[in-house]
Amino acid sequence: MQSPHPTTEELSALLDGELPAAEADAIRRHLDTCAACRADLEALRGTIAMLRVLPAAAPPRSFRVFDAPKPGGLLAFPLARLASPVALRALAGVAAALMVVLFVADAARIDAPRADTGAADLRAPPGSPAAGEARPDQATRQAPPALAPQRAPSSAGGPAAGASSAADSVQALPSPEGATEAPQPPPGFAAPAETAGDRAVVVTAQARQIETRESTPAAPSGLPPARIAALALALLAVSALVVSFVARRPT
Amino acid sequence: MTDDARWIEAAQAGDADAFNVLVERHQLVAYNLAYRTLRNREDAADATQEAFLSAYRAVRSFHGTSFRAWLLRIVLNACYDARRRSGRRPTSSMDALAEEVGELPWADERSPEPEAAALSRETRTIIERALGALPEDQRLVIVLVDLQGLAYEEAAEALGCPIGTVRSRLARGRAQVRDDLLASGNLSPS
Repeated sequence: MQSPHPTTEELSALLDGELPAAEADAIRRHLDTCAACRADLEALRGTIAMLRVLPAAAPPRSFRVFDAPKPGGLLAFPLARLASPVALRALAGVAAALMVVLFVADAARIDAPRADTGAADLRAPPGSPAAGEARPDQATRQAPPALAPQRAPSSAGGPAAGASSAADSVQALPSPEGATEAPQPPPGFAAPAETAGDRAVVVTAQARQIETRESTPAAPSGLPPARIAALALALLAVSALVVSFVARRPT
Repeated sequence: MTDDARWIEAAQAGDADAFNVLVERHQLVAYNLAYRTLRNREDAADATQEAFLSAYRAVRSFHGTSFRAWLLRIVLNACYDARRRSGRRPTSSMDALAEEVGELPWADERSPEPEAAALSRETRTIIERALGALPEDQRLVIVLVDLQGLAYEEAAEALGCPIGTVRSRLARGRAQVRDDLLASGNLSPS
């Protein structure tokens, strides 16, 4: 009794030893008596043999992992999370928020008149969402800005003066009267792109105000801890953002 | 790959050097899967590196039997991610691919078939063209099982599909390559 011709799938599985014993035996019995199926089987066997010796591509380099964060015990999961671009941008956002809080806390100790002068200097680039919303009404109310257009930032004394004036301006945004209430963190805080925009705005504003600040009495001599912390957070936020974007690019 | 176990244990305990031993044991297979999937050397290298980094970060979550299958699943995902990021790029022609592929032989546990004399350039070109013309799901199964020596179970794990699917795709892909070889006169049924 001739069993039906095996399918290609059965022949293929037979060659791999992946057929149950009973089926394999039945097919072998058929092959004993069917030349056509034997030919199919041999052609398949020859094809597989050639596929197996197809040359491999040589890797261009070793893919050893260097300086990767170790998969340590309790920290493995959070470390893996920290390396992701989204987490880094969230970290940048948190750092920027803390920086704003510190600015405000610091600015609350500065006299009110300084706040009014500071607000006029702060001109946001058109693209910034937070600055654009709050400031147009401020600009019309205040005196024309005293800043010189696009001056390069000075190095040493710049950040300190810039920090105080930025704090003044931030304080003045929602309160034209220069009250000491804390402003909201810039809107769109959770969005990484907007956070980057806000950060760029603040840094740019700091640079512009440096020259105009020279004539007015500067902040107390030496850097208060709040400003040091704020600057550190600013650097952290910027670094985290940069790393998050750089890390996305293929090596 | 049963002696992966000691390296896996050490890597899971935090030993990066142990993980790098695993890298060196599996990078040929990993890179070639990426190369066969993305068909571009640079993209394949990038995807392979990303895959090893992902695997390193996630090594503590490996608890299967085949590290290779687990790793190759990560490689495939890295390839799909690369495709999504860059869009489909123009790939090498099949002739160029046949020429680019190096002469490095496969490290294969199985004993070589008697027919395994070096393939002629023409035969290699026919096979590469045939592979390139296959639907991707069939091509990947052939790459894993026939080119890289994975068992059906390993291939199923790497691809995330049932073993029956591996079996049927493998058969169809092999049959197509066989037919192309027969048609070109590079395979004579004995």
